[in-house]
Amino acid sequence: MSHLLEVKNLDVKFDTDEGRITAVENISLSVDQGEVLGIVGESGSGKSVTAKSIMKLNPGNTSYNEDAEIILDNENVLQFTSKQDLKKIRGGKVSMIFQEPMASFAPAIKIGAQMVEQLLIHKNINKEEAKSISINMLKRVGIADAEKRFNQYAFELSGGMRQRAMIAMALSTMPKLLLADEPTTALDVTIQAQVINLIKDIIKEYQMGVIFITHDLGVIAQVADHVAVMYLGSVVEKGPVNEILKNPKHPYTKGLLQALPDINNLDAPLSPIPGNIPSPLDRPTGCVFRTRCPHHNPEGKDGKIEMKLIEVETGHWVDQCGIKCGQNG
Amino acid sequence: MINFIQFTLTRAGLAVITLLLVCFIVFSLMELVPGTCAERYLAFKNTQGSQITYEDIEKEKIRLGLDKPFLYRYGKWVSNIVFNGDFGDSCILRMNINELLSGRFTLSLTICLVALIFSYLIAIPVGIISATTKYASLDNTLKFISYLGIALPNFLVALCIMLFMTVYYGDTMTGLFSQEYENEPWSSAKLFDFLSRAWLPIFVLGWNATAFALQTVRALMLDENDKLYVMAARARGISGMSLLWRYPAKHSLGPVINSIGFDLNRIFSALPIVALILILTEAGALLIEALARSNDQQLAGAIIFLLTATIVFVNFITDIILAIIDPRIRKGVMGGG
Amino acid sequence: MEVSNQKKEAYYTATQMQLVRTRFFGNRSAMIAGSILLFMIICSLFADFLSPYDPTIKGRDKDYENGAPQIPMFWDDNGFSARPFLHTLEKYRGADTNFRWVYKVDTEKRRYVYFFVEGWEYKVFDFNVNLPGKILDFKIPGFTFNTHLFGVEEGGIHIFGTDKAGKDLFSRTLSAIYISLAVGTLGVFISFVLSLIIGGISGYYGGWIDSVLQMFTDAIRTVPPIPLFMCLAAFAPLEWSSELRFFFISCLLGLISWPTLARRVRTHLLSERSQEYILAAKLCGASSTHIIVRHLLPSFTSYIIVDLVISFPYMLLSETALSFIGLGLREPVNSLGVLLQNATKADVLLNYQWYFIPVFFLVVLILTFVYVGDGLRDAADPHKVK
Repeated sequence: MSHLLEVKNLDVKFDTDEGRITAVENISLSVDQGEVLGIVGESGSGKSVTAKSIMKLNPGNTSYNEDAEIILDNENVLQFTSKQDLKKIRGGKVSMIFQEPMASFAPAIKIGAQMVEQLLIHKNINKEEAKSISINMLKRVGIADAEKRFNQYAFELSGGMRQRAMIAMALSTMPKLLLADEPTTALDVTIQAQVINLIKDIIKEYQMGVIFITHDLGVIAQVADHVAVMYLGSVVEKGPVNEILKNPKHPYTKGLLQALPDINNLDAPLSPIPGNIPSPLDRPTGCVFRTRCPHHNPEGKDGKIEMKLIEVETGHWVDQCGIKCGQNG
Repeated sequence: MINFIQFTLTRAGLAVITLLLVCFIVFSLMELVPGTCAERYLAFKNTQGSQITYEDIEKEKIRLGLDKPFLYRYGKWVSNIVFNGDFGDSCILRMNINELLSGRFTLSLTICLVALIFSYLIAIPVGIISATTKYASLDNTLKFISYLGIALPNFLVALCIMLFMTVYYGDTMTGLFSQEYENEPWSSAKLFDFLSRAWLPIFVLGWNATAFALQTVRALMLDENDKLYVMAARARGISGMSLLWRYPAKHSLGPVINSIGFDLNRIFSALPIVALILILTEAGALLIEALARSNDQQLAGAIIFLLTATIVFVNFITDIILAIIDPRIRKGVMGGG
Repeated sequence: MEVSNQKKEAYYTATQMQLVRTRFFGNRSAMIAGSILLFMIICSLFADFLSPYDPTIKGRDKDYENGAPQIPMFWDDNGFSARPFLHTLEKYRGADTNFRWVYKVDTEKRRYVYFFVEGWEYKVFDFNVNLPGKILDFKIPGFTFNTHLFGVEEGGIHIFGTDKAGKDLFSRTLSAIYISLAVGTLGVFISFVLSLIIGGISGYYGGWIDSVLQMFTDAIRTVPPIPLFMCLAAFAPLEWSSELRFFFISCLLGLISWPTLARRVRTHLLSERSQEYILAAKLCGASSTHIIVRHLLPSFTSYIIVDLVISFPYMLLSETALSFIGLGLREPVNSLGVLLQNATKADVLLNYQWYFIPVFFLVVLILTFVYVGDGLRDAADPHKVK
């Protein structure tokens, strides 16, 4: 069976004044219908860039490699250049929800107007129909007084409600794939839980594929079916969520898990990953994680080993340098 | 609605306070100039042959109320302007300032406002193009032209055009009217004549303002374009002109409106010198006349007051417009509903 | 790894100033403008050395009034010469010229250009301040030199031509750039001090002090500057010496342009003073002055410098405008405004186009300043990190 979305060998590079920066290197991912893929990583690890590539939303100084493919519904998105084609992926088959719902709604346009505008672009319907779809969608995501909210501006809504409205807007065109870029990071913990539950419900109901980006493994544990752990633009480990959380192989994944507080032993000291994430300007050659590998690893240090994902269990892939780094400890 | 009225009244109150402060500054400046009106008037009489004594000066001072304390005279000056619309007499030209200024100030104001409107009509589309174009060379060229607009002062442009006209067409293009219409009452022929000449000062005054407005629009557009909501709109499939006009352009309109007052300020600032070069018979030229030639502080004070009052008024209006068009401010001043 | 660590260290610990510098150097148009500007500033600083003639009436060339620019050449009909030369001119008038003086070029006679020649005397590090009141007066005798970059054996060399009194326009332009820049610098300095004091008090104390000062600042900002400027400049009596006038005009420039800068200082302070490190300093019992001078000011020095550079071209333009209408600097002082005023006659465009050469330099000077200021602003703007 072919996947809903399949990303193959994707490199993303930015041309800047300081030179060409590699934001994402050799990434392969896939998402099936009704499945949630969680992407975890620190800020700057290329999670958002990967997601934006799927909608070709990266800025003008971006370049993709020739042999990369992003196959969505049997079409290669990277080949899209015409307005019509781009429209299909932007808001049509793919929708995105952003971290800052306040900043992602245009401040001086009513929420309803923005929803209707989107619907009119993608669906062959009139304004009235668009309005009723929007209001129903607002109701569906749990916004009370949907008719009133429809005529309000984003700044008049509370944080949680804004995020709900954002989700309603993203879902109103019935996309096949939802990209959620840190949708809960800016919210209070209680609202976070509500929004996560909402997203889970919706996935079940609409059977769409989801890429859920976050830096919080706790959130991933709640929503995702599969996880990809990213570090400095590369996937270092990926696999089913239970497998990864219970049996992490890569030192970085282990580090991320150890940095979480243990619910059974709250007094235990948290162990942060030593070292700093290097600047993307001097990205290490070979194994990207080697500058922070906690164990001495003579092979990895000089960057002679190439990054390569190895299947250690069925469906559980780990970067080979990571295995080496872990072993030599 | 009540809230809106309240907002308007507060703004109006602030505008009045600003104006009073400006009046105070202007009036103090007028006071600082050595020599009083009485002395000057009598010195003038002296040149006409009459003998002036100390007593005459004192008498004249009392007649003009110059013996009263500073604050009293300030209050009187202001209240005369506010309640009677009377700026008093110019002590050099021996004329009522209102009479002197009435027609000319309207004329100056018209020219300046037209220049302002033109500069925005050009600056807004060009600024948007400059900010959003894919071609760096087009942006750089437009940027260079707008910088040139700053580096070439208006009076220099006026001068060059005028010299050029004189040399190659034999007509100086100076003044606002041809000689035959100078003292005629307004008629369609005079209006036509006025329009055929007024384009030059309008162009010259608008020149600088366009450059500044262009930069304002460009910077604001770049700023808005970087914001997340524009990316979010693109992610929803909105593209092309509808993206541009409804998103970044619409949202940078507020700050652009906000800058109108400052651009008018710039145009007023350039007015006197441009007027001097183009020999326009309006308030700006009179200001130079008053200051550079005859030290006529009453007249200068009145002109500066009128110019500033116009700016304060325009700022007040733009504040109100802003509150009407921007929902964030509107909700802020009018509350919930 | 060591190198990379050092680089990383430098990247993370770079001060705001270093970041600004790096970003500015990456901006090509700003760098080009900056180089031209620097070249002009250096030329103006060495104006006396570069000028073959005294820019004042003392250096006039009686035999070459309203003279066209003389461009040194390397070859003519008689062949090539490694040393640049000029042809000899002869003043002539007769019936065929309607008895107007014209210059006839004698292409047979060459006058060679020599470098590092001796000419009129000029002083370096010579300060002579003579203001009203005796306290401020002082005099530091400097060194006297008479070496100049270039000159010719006999007659004159006027590469930009001469004006109607026979003054060398090249020398005048150089000294005018110097004077205009000096007026601007003094003006910027005064406005800087004022804005620092007023904006500083306003931003640091906040509350009603801030409200009152802001109202005052706004009121001044509303008045159109040049008319206000003219109003103030009209105080200066005609009989004032040129130094005094120079000083007075600079003060005015500073007095009028402070509000914009003061607002910026205030905004910076308001956002900075609520930061934790200021609270920490307060808890340690540091005095207000100490906090302002040691903590707050350094936190936005780079922004202030950028603002100062941006305000510079407007200083120059105001000076030019004022001198142009005769309320600013006057002859015998050279300034770009004074030279501009000379170019206002129709006669000039028809016959003596070289009067416009200084105007060209004014435009270039302002243009480069605007470009540099713009580049600096982009470099200092933390939001523009890509």
